[in-house]
Amino acid sequence: MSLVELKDVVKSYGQNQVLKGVSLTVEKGEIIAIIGRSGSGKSTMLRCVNGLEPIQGGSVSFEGTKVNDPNTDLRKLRQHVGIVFQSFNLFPHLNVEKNITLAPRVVKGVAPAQTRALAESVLRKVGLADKIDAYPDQLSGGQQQRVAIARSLAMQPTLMLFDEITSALDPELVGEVLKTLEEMARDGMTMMLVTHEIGFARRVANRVVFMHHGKIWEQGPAADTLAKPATPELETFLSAVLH
Amino acid sequence: MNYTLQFRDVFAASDLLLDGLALTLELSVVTMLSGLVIGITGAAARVYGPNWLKRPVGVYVEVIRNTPLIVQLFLIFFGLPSAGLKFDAATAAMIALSINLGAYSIEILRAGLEAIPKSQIEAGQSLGMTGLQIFRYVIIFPALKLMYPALASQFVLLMLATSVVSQISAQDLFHMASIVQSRTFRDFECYIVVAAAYLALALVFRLLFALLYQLVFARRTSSR
Repeated sequence: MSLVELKDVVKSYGQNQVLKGVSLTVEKGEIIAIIGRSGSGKSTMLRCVNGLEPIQGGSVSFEGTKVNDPNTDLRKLRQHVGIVFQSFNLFPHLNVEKNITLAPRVVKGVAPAQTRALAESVLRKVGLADKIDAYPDQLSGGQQQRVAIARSLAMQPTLMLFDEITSALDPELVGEVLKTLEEMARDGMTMMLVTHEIGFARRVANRVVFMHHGKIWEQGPAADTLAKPATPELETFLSAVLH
Repeated sequence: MNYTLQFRDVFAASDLLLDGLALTLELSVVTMLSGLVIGITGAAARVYGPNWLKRPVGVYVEVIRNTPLIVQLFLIFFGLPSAGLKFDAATAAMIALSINLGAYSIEILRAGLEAIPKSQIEAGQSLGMTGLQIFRYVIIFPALKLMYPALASQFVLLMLATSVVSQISAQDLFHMASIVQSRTFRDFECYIVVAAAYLALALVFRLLFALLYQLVFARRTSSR
C-alpha cells in the first residue's frame, strides 16, 4: 500500500476545472517535487491530499484511508499530514512556543509539563531554539517559515506537504528554509513539495512531477527528468524558469 | 441673567444620588458582561453558523439596531406582562439593555471575525483542531483585539444610555436626579451634578478599558 494514492482526481471551481484526472502515488520516504506554471493545479493537488480542497471526482487516500469520504475523520488524518503554507500562517497573538505547542496540547493532549521540551526539540531541528519566546512579528520571513515547519513537525507527521513555502520570501532568506528541508529529507521524512526552486528539486527530490493544464504531464526521477524532459511543455517551462 | 448657583440642597440629597449611581453602575457592568457574551456567541453564529441560525441572528441584530432603546425597554416592561412575563424595573432594564448591547456587539464582532484571514482557519484545520478549538485559540483573540476600540466605545455609549431606564422607574442616577430636583427645585444645580457624575463615570470606564487593553492585548504583538 502506498502512503498517498490519488486516482483520477477531478477538482473544479464552478465551471473551471483545475484538476482533470490526476493520478499519483507516493511511497513512504519519497520526496516528490511538484513543478509547473502557476494555475497548472499543483497547489490544488497538494491541498487535496489533506482534504483542504474537496474534490468532485476520483479518490484520494492516505495510508489506505479515503480522504474524500465524508465518513473519514479528517481531523485525525490531518494529525499525520503536516502542511506548510506560502504565507506561513503563524498565529500572530501567540509566541513561538505557543504556536508550536497549541495543537499538540489541545488536539493530542500532550501534558503542559512536556510542551516546552517539545517546542525546544522541534525548534532545534529548524535552528531557531533561541527564538522560543519571540512573537511572529519579531521574526524575519525565513524564520517565521521555519517556525511554521517546526509547528508541523511537533505533531510528528508521517507526511509533510509544502505549498510554495519559499515563494513569499526575500531571495536571501530562501536558503535557510531550503536547508531546513534538506535536513528533514536526510531524516527520512516523506515530503511532497510544490516549488519553483528547480535546483533544489534536482538536488533533494527523488521524483519530479510536472503539472500542466490540470494534469500530470510528465514525471520521473528528478535528475533525469530535469536534464532530459520528454515533453516540449516541460522543456519550455524549464527554459523559462532557469533563465 | 443673574441666577446664583446653590448646590447646598442638592448635595444634602447626595445619598439618593449615590444610590442611583450604584444602580447605574450595576446596570452598566452587568450589561457589558452579558453584551460581550451575546456578542461573541452571536457573532460566531452569524459568521460560522448554519443558515438556520445565521438568519434569526441577523434578524435580531437588525431589529434591535433599527428601533429605539426606549421602545425596546417599554416592550419588555409594559408589553411582556400581558404575555405573563413580569419583571421588576431593574430586571427589565437589565434585560433590555443586554439585548440592545448584544445586538451592537454582534455586529461589531462580526466585522472582527470576518477580518481574520481564512488562512488562519486553514492552519488550525491542518493541525487537526476542531472548529470550536480554532475559534477559541486562533480566531477570537485577534478578532477582539481588532474590534476592541469600537467595542469599548459602544460600551461607554451603553453606560450613558442607561439613563433611559428612569422612564420605567428603575432607580438609576437619572431617576434619582428627578426626585432630588422635585424636592429641592434646584433644577440647574441638580442636572449639573448629574452631568458631572455621568462624565466622571464615562471617563473612568474609558480609563479602565484603556488599562484592560494594555493588560490583555498590548503585550502580545500582532503580525503584519
